[in-house]
Amino acid sequence: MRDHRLSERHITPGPALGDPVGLVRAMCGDYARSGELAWALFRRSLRSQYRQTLLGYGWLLIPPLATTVTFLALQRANIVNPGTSAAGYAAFVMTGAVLWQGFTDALGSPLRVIRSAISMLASVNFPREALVVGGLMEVLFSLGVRVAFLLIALAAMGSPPSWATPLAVGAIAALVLLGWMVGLLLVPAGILFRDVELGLPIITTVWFFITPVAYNLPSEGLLAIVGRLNPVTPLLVLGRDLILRGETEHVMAAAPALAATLGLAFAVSVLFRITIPHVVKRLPG
Amino acid sequence: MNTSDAPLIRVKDLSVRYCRGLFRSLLYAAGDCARELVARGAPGPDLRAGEFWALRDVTFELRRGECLGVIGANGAGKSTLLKVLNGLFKPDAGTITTRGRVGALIELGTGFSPVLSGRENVFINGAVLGIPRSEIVRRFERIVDFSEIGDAIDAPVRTYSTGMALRLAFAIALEMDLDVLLLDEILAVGDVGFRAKCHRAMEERLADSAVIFVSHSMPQVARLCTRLLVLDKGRIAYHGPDIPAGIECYYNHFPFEGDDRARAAGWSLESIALAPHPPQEITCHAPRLSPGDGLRIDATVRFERAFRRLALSVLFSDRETRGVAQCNPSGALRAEDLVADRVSFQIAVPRLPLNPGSYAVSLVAMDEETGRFFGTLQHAAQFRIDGDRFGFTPVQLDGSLALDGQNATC
Repeated sequence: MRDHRLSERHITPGPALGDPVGLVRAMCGDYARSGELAWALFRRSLRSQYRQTLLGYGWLLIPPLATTVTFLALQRANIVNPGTSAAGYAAFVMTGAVLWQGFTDALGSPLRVIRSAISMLASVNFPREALVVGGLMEVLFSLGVRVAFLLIALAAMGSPPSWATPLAVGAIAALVLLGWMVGLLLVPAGILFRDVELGLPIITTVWFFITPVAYNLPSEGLLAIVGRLNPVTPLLVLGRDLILRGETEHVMAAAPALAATLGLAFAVSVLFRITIPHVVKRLPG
Repeated sequence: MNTSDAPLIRVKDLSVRYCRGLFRSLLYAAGDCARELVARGAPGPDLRAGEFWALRDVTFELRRGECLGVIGANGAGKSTLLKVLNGLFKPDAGTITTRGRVGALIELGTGFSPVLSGRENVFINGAVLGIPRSEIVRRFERIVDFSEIGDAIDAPVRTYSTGMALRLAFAIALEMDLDVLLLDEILAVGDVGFRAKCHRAMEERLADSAVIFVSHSMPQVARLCTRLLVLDKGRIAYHGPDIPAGIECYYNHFPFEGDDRARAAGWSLESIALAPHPPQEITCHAPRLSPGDGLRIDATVRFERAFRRLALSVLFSDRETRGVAQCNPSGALRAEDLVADRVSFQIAVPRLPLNPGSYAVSLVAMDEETGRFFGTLQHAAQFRIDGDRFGFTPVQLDGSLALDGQNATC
C-alpha cells in the first residue's frame, strides 16, 4: 500500500536547535526547494510594482541619479569640495550612490517582503526562505540595471570603467549580502514591533552620512574612526575603486568585513528559520 | 472509500497557548524567540500572565478516507488547530505526527496580485501552494474550465468580481496533491451552481485523503464528515462518529432564545405549551419527541387589532433559525371567538418527520379578508426530537423499497 512510502513528520514543542543537523538539513533543503517559488514571487513583485507607473523601470535609476545631482549641486555651491573636476566627482558620487542604493535595498528587503506576505504566512505553509530569496532577487535585478546604466553613463562622461570592473562584482555581492543579512536579522523584531520599521529610515540616513558615498574618508578625526568601524565602508570603497580606478588599497580592509558577512549570513539564516514560527503565531488572521 | 489502517495524522495531548494583550503577547513572542536561541523549547505547563489555552489536551487520529469535522463556537480553537496541524507554528505541548503531504485551504487566493492577469496569478498561486510549474502548465486548461473564468483569464484580477477571484483560487487549490487536507469554511464559494461543483469535487477528494473540515454549516458537516470533534474553549467537548450527538453538543452552546411572551404588531402571546400528540404521560414546556411523533400546541393570544377571520400558520425552525417546515392548519379564528381580546386555541400536527435535534415554534397570523399579515410571534416555544437516525436534510420522509415484481408499500 502506498501509505508505507509516505514521509513522516513530527511537530513537537522542542527547540529547533535540539537537532542542529536536522535543522540545517531542513533549512538547506528549503532554500533549494524555494527556487521556483522565489522566482515566481520575484516576477510577481517586479510586474506588479511597475505595471501601474508612467516611468516604469525608470524608477530604478531615479534614487542614485537624485543623489548624484544633489551632491553636484553642493559641489558647485562649494559646500562639498572633493578636490576633483565636476565630471570626476559626478562619476565618484554616482558610483557610490549606486552601490549604496544596492546596500539599502538589500537592508530593507527582508522586512518589506515578509510584511507584505503576512496573510500568506498566516495561512499557507511554504518555505519562508522563498520570500526573502525572492526579495534578494529583486534587489539584485535593480542593482544590475543600475550598474549597467552606471557603466554606460561613466563612458559617456569620459570616465570609462576600468579593466578591473568585473572584479568589483565580488565586492558588490558582499555589500548586498551584508545589507540582506542585517535586514534578515531585523525581521523577527521588525514584524513584532513597528519600532524597527519606523526607525530603519532614520538609521539608514545616519548610516549614509557616516559612509563615504559622496566624500573620501578622512584619514583622521571622529569620522575616520567611525568610517573604519563601519562594515559598509571597505566593501563600498573597494567596489568603487575597482570600477573607477582599477586599483585599490582597501583589499585587506575589506577582507574582515567579507569574512564576517559570509559567516554571519549562515547564522542569521538559522536564526530567521527558528524564530519565524513564533512570529507567525502572533500574526493576525 | 480507501481507509488505510495507518493514521495519516496523529495528534496527542496537543496544547497551544495565546496571550490576549497585544503588547504582552509580542513580548512573550520575543521571549520565545530568545528561548529558541538558547535551545530551550516551549515554556513550562504554567500559563504566564494574560495567557489562556487556545487548545488543551486535544487528541485524535485520522486515516485515509476519513473526514473529521471540527466544530465549535467562535474562539473555540478551530482555526488554531488547523494552523498548528499545518505546521505554521509549533504547539506548546503535545505532538503531531503526519504522514504524506499536508496542505490547507484556509484562505483562498492568498498571494493574488490584483494588477496581474488571472493567468499570471494561476502560476504564482500554484507556486505558493507548492504545485510545480510543469504541473500547472499541464493542468492549466482544467483550472480555467473548473473556475468558469473563460476569456477573463487574461484580464487583471482587479477586474474580477469577488466570486470570480474565489472561483479561480478554489480551482487552483483543488490541484494540490495531498494526503492530509485541512479545510477551513471555504465551500461557500461562488454561486449555487459553483458551490454544487465544489461539493462534488470535495467528495471525490474525501475518498482518497484524510480531511479535517472546519465549518459552521451543520448540513455540510453532516454531509461530508465521518467523525466530529467539538471544541469548547480549546478543549474537546465531543469526539466520535455519532454526528447527531456531536452537532447537538455544538448546538448546546447556543440555547434557544425562546419567548413565551412574544409580541408582534397586532397581537401578543399570553401563554403557550407544547405536548406530544397524541398525548403521552409527560407534558412539559419543552417536550421531547421521538421521530415521527406528532405535536400539540396549546396557546392563548391577545389581539390589539380588529379582524373578522384569521388564518394561523406554525413555523418550525432549527437551531440556526432556518425554517425547516410549516403547518397551515385547517380552520380559522373568528372575531366572535374573542373573549376580552383574547382567544385560546389548540393546533395539532399529527406527524413531524424531522431530523433529531431542537426546534423552535413561531406563530404567524393572516387576515383572510384583507390578506394582511399580523406580525410573527417568533420562537414562542421549543421542543426536541430524540433519535439516532440522522439524515442530511431537515425533513426525513418515509418510504419503502421493493424489488422488481414486488409492490412497494407506503
